[in-house]
Amino acid sequence: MNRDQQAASVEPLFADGYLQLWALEEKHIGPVHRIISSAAVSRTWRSRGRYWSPAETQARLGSSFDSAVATVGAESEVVGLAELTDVDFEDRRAQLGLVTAESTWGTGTPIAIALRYLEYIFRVYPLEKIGVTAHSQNQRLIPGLRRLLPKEGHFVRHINMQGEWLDLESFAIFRSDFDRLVRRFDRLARAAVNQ
Amino acid sequence: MSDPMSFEDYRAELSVIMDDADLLPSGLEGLGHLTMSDLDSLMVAEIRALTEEYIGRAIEPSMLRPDLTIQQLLLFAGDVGAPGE
Repeated sequence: MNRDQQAASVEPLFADGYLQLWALEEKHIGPVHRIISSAAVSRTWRSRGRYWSPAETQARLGSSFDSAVATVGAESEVVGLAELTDVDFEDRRAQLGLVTAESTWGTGTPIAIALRYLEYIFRVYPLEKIGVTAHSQNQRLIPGLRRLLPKEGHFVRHINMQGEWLDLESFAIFRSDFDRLVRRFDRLARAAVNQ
Repeated sequence: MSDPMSFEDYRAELSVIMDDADLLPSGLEGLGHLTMSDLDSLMVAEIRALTEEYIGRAIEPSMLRPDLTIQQLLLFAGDVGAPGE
């Protein structure tokens, strides 16, 4: 972690009542490791269902681009991590990575984390398009993404989940469309930050 | 702080969420048999947020169980009622 990142961690990237986003620090590695060590959670994320040791988690997350840890409540319980991958400033695009604790699934918290993180990203970086992907077999999530976001493609046998090849659905969030998403999920985001 | 939502407002907002999903345009009565498992996870999250706003408190995660129908949800919300209503 460089000096700029340490300085940035003094103040949250976002704070509104219940939910805060922080630049990733060493103290967050343990709680994030606990979240991604859940088999169900790990299968939704880039660890692809494989166990990462704390050291591997630190090494991999340490090289991520501007990751943000989401905490909730007065105790600052770590409930998720948002990050960008495949950042391409030439073409002003990147990929959103989001992992949240199983306890947040089915609530507005993951969406609130994603929106607040992207607000920060669009404010700080000249990116125009953020890609969002989901496993094709995730039929609880994909209809919702299809309703809300332009679909970019279907990738066949794109993810190797411990020997099992999975298809991927790709969607996009454009800077020019972001305000619509913020308005669309205003209630969800408010519910997540006002608990 | 915004005014408490009335039950009619709650029903109207729930209809908007359902309509947005291109479900059958038969109104909430016609969709009352749908269960949470028929809905995508974003819709369920939106319905949870709406219901919590209406009743003025968080609801238990087990409340929105997969077999809960829209009709049962309306009955639950109607029973609990809006704060001050």
